[in-house]
Amino acid sequence: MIKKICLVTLLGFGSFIQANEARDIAQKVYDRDDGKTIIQDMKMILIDKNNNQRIREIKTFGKDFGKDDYRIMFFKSPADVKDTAFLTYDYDDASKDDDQWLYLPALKKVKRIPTSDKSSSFMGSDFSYYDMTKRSVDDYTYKIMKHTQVRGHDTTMLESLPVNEDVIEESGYVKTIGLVREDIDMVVRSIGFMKNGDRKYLDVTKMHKQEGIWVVDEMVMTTKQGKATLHKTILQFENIKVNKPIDDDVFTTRRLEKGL
Amino acid sequence: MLGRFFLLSLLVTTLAVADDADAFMDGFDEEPLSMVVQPQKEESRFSLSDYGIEGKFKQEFAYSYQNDAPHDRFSSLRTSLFLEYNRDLWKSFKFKINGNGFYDLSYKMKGEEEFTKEELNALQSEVELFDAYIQGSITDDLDIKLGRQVIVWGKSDTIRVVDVLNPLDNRRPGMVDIEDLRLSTTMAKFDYYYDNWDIAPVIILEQREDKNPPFGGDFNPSPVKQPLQKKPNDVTYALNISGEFTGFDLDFYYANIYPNFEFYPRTDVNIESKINMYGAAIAYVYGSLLVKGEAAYMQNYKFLQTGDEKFDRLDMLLGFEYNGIADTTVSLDLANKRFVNTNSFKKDNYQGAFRITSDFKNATVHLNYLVSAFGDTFDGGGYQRAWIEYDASDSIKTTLGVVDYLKGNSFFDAISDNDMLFYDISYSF
Repeated sequence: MIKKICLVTLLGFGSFIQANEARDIAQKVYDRDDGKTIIQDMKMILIDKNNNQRIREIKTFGKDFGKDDYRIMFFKSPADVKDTAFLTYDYDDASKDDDQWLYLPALKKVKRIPTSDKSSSFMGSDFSYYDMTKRSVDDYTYKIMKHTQVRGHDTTMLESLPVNEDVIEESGYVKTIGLVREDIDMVVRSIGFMKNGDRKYLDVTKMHKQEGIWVVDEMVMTTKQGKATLHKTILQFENIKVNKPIDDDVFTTRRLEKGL
Repeated sequence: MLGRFFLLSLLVTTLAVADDADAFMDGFDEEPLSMVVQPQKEESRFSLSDYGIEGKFKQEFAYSYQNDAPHDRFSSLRTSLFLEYNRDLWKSFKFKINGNGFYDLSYKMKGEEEFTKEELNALQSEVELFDAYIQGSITDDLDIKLGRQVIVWGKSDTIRVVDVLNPLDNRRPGMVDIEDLRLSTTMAKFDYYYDNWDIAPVIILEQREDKNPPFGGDFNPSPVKQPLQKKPNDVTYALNISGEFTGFDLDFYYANIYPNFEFYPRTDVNIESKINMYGAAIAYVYGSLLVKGEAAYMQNYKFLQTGDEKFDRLDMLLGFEYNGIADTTVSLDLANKRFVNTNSFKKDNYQGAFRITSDFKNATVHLNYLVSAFGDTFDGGGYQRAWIEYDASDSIKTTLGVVDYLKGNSFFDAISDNDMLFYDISYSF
C-alpha cells in the first residue's frame, strides 16, 4: 500500500513538474519579442487540390501601442480586391471587442465591421482569423510529448488542449500539437486537429533574424482529410522591416480610404 | 508487482503517444515549395496594368419568364467594358478616372422597331464616365477630393436614409446591387481631421438626375410618358461630421440639396425644389454583432400633384449585421419613412431588407440571398434575389441567379411578371 501511494505521488509530482515546464514553454512563445513595428509585403498563394493557384498581394503595417496591437492591410491584387483595406485595433483587454474597419472600393465607403467568427477563413485561405492572432496561454493546458528535430534544430513537441468548450468553439480546434524551436522559442511546425475531423498542418519553411528579432519569410498551411490534401496556402513575406518608425496616422480610417 | 505493472503501462502509453505523433508528422510535405508554386508571369510580358490601366470585360445574359412581347425570353444580352486609369501625381496626390461602355444585342436580335425610342436610348447602348477625380492632402490635417465621385453616407448597405448625395441607377430595379447603384457626380469634398473627428464639407457642383426605367421598358408600367423634370444647375452644399471611438462610430449630416427621384414609395417628388436634410447615424459593435441606427429629418419636400405645399419627413432605420457564423454574414435592416405634417397621402412607409452571404470552397463559391420588401407588414411589394458566384480564377468570375418580383402594390403588381434568370461572366485585367 505504501509502495502504491509512493508511485502515485511520484507520478503525480512528475506530471505536475512536466505540466509546469510545458506551460513555461508556451509562455515563452507568447512573450517572444516580435518587434514594436513591422512593415512587410505579403503574397498569399492559394492552391486547391487540382493545383489551381490564386494569388493575393497585400501590404501590411503593424505597431504595438502599449499592450494593444494596431494593424492595417492594403490589398494590391488581384483586380477584384485591389484597393480593399482592413484596419484592426486588437485590444489586450479581453473584455473589450476589437475595433475593425473595412474599406471596400465597390461600396466606396469605410465600414465598421463586427468581429468575425474566429474560425472563419482569412480571405479564403487555410488560415483562419484565429490562426492570425496570438493565442492566450491560459486557454490551454500543455503537455510535453517528446523532443525531436526539425530541419536540424532541436524542438519540443508540445500538445495543447483547450481548457473548455468555448475555446474549441472559438478556435475550431480540439487539439494542437506544436513543435517549438528550443533556441528561439518559435513554433516552426504545428498540427491543428479540427472539430470536423480535418487537420491543418502549419510549416514555417523560411525565416531570418533581423534587428535581433526572428521573422518569418515563408510558411505554408495545408488542410488535410486523412492523408489527402484538400487545400494549401503559402504565405511569402518580402521587404520586411522591423522596428522602423511608423507614423500613428497610418492606423486610421483616413488611410484606409486613401490607400497606399 | 502492481507498481511494476503501472510503470510498464505508463511506458507503453508514452511510446504509443510518440508513435501517434510521429504518424501525424508524416503529414508535412518535405518537398521544396518551389515545386508546388507555378512560375510567375514573365517579366517582359506586356501588361496594361504596368501603365496604370485596369479593366473588366463582362458578358451578361438575362432570361425573362414573362410572355409579353417584346420583353419576353432573352431580355438582355449585354456586353460591357469597364476601364480604369490610376496615376500618382505629386506628393500624396492621386488621379483616378474610370468609365463603362455597354451594348445590348438583344434589341437588334428582336428588332429595334419593337421598342420605344426611350428604351433604346436608355438600355441598348451607353458610354458612361464614372469617377474622374484628384485626391490628396493639402496639409497634415486637410484632404481634398475634387471631381466626379461617389460619396456614400450612412451605415446601412441596403436601405438609404441619409445617403442622399448621389443620384441612382434605377433602370433595372432588383437587378443592380449596391456597388453599381450610385451615379458619380462632380463634387469637391474636404476632410479636416481633428482628434477622433473628421469634418467634411461638400460642394456639389453638378446636379444629375437619376436614371429611371424608360417609357416602354419592362420596368416602366406607365402607359404615358412621365413629365420631364430637370434640376436647376446651381451649386449646393452638404456637411458630414464623423467621429470614431472605441466600440462605435457616430456621424452627423446636413445637406441643402435637390432631392433624388424616389423610386418607391413616392415616384412623384418634385426634384426641382431643394430640401434640407438633418441626419445622424451610429454603428455600435457588440462582439460579432453590429447594430446600426440612422435618422434623417427632411424639410420642404414638394410633390408634383400638390403644387407649392411643402412636406417634412422623418426617416428612421435600425439595422443588424451578424458575423458570428463561420464564413457567413447576415444582415437585417428595417426602416420607416413618415410624413409628419400631412393628411394628403399615406403617412408611414415601411421597408425591410434581409441579406445573407456565405463563402464556400476557400471563398471561390459565394452564395447570396437578398429580400427587400415594403409595406406595414412587408406585404406591399418588393423583390427577392438569390445568386451564386464562382471565382474560376483570380480574373474570371461567373454569376448565376434568379430575381423574383413580389406583388403587393400597384407598381410591383405591374412589374411582377419580370421574374428572370440571369448569368454573367467577367474577365478582369
